[in-house]
Amino acid sequence: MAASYSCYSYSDTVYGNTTNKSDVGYNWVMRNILPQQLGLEVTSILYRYTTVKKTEDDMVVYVQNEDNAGDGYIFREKDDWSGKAGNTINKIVPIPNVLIDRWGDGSIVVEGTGTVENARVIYNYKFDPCFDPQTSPDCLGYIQPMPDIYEVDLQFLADESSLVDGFMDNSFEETEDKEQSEADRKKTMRKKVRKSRLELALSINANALVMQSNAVNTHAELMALSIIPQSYMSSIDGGYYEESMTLNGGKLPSNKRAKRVGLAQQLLHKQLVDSQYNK
Amino acid sequence: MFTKNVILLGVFASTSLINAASASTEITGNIESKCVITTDATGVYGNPTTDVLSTLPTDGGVSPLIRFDILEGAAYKGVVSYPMQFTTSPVLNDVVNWTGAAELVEMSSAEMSAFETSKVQYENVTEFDLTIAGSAWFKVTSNAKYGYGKSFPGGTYSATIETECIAK
Repeated sequence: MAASYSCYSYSDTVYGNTTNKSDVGYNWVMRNILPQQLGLEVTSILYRYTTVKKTEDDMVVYVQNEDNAGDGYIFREKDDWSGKAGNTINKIVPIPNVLIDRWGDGSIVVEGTGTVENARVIYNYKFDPCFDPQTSPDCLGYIQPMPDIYEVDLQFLADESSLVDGFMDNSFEETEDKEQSEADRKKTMRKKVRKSRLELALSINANALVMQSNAVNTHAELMALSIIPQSYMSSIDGGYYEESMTLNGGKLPSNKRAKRVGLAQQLLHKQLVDSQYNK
Repeated sequence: MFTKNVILLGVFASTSLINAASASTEITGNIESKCVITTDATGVYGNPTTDVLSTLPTDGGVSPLIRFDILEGAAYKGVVSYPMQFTTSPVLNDVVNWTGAAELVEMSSAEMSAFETSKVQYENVTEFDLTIAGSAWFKVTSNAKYGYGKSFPGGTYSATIETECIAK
């Protein structure tokens, strides 16, 4: 099957037709033939076929399309060739603008003696590309779609109540008076919980401010005692500082005292290690 | 100026007196034929041999296709005549033997199949009884054979098929 489409601009009605090649047989799926365009209407059908038969034979040919809305046919054309010589029929049948949804699969059915050759069925159609204005912003009546709004789950409020309920609900055999008093207590408890949460939230912010002011006071007191060198507070200029030390004579003698200390420490270390293995 | 006007009035009065003596009223009418003939495909002569011109596809030709749109059934007779002479051709010094045929090849209704079975042929004419309304396509073949094995001289050849809707 092959279909040809016409060029169009939005809001113009598009007219077109399909071509049904006989090499696919005499049964065809409309979904593969008609463009799947919302609001498409078939306006007429043109069919052509050649009958091969003897004049005296009875033969009836149906060109038809099933009706998707029921058990019948949305289109059914009957050609009675009984007692007639075989020939080629070329017929155009106007259709009262039936929407695409109704067009079921098509077929050519032969009843009686004879065959059909070189069949071709063409559907002429039209559609409005703006049948659904939301198809394109170019369509008249197009409405800019709203962005997705996420729903906030307020279930936690109910959960909070249920937690309190679960905490307070310790008996299933309360009297009505007790139930009333329990309800009051729950209400009071909820208020307390909310109040404590609010206080906690406020205290976090207030404590931060208090801590900041305490630190400033402590710093001032320490500076007043003059026990912190001023260089802690002064900054050193950046740059390259050259080496100022010099070595007299150009020779650095070995430090025998330090060497002795090092060897003694090594000896002591070895003794300690050996003591672990009872040597 | 004044005199000229008077003279003109006198002539008008004289004419009015003449018309009052006799009058004729015209009635016009127009009949549009309910049978329309259209050429769907023009023909082409093929030249399979030097002495033959033919519209048969097997001879390299194209058979013309003529459509009859019959708006009212049983009101007309279709007459198709294949050519018996060239309308244009080089000078021919020998006879041309003409053959041809007209046949119904397509129709808009199976009922029209009767056009073909009931057609009448004589000389180069084929008559079809157009009893059913609708469209019918007739294919005409034409064959011209020159002399007795004589070659057609080079040039352009053309011939005309005559078709008519004749009211019954």
